[in-house]
Amino acid sequence: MKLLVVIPAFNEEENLPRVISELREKVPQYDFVIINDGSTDGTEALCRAQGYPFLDLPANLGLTGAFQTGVRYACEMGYDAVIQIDGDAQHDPAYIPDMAALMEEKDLDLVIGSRFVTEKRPATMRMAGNALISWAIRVTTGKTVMDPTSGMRLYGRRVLKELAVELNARPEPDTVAQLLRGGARMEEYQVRMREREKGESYLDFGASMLYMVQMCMNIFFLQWVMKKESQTCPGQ
Amino acid sequence: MSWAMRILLILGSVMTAVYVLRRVRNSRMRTGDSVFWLFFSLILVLLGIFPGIAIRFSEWIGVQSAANLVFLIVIFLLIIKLFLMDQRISKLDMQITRTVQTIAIHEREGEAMEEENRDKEEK
Repeated sequence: MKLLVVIPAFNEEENLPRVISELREKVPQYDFVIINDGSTDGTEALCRAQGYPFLDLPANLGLTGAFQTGVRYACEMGYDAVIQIDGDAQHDPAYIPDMAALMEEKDLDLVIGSRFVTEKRPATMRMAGNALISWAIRVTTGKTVMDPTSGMRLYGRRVLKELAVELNARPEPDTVAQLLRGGARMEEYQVRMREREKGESYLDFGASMLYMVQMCMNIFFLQWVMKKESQTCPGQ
Repeated sequence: MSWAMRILLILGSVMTAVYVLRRVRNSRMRTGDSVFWLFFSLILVLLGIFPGIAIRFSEWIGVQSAANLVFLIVIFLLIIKLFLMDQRISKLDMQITRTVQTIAIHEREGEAMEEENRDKEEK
């Protein structure tokens, strides 16, 4: 399986060196690409100076646009799978080989690096949102996703095309629900995540609430409106 | 409000909602963009079904007829949409400008590199 690690990065100058050195150290067998999403700090200069493989977006497209760029690139370069790793070093790349092995072994379309498969979800405000989205997905698709908001997702080749072209596809829980409804085979793999060390997360409390409402609305809404059939990569 | 107006309101907004939902279904519209139009039709349907709302409000605000209040609400919602679209256009404008500039710069860089190589070969 030819796997590409996609790292969307918006102003991650401080965290990127750590992410990349960890990738090179722990999983040198995988190709990776950084998507510089119109950063205003030295992210581009860093990538050039260090010779990191990167795609430079001239304007800021947001996480969805940046991720889609990575998926399109993977589709065009003939990769079979894409895993998203955040540019803030939250995700430990050491889990990637096991997640890829799980995908191949069980012929899956989606493997989520999940914080709560064997470990219990802590009862915090933040995790209440996670539980709510999980519930919405269970009600609408009948399938259980313990950690729908995890950003560490491995997508197989059957769903890559849809992610690359579909207008409403994005690296968020609503798209996970949509894929599941289209018959995608999904499993979760227990991972540990780290807190981000430098820089600020783009979700403060108000934004998290808005995000949650939006996700739940989309999950119910998509369930009701969207077509069921999903597209696949051409020629596969 | 007259019966004709109520029926027009309800029919018009239900048709709008159906059209918007079909566009979302066929991936011609983003889910986020459809929210405004669905909300818009919901308000008009409510005004059509319960004319009491419009009548009560028009008396309270001092608008002569309930129909005028309906127009006022529609205009208000459309102005909000206009404002949101204006913001979006500004953003798109900026993105296009940046993208076009970047393409031009990259093309120039490519040409400069080609010229350099040609010079080297000639020497």
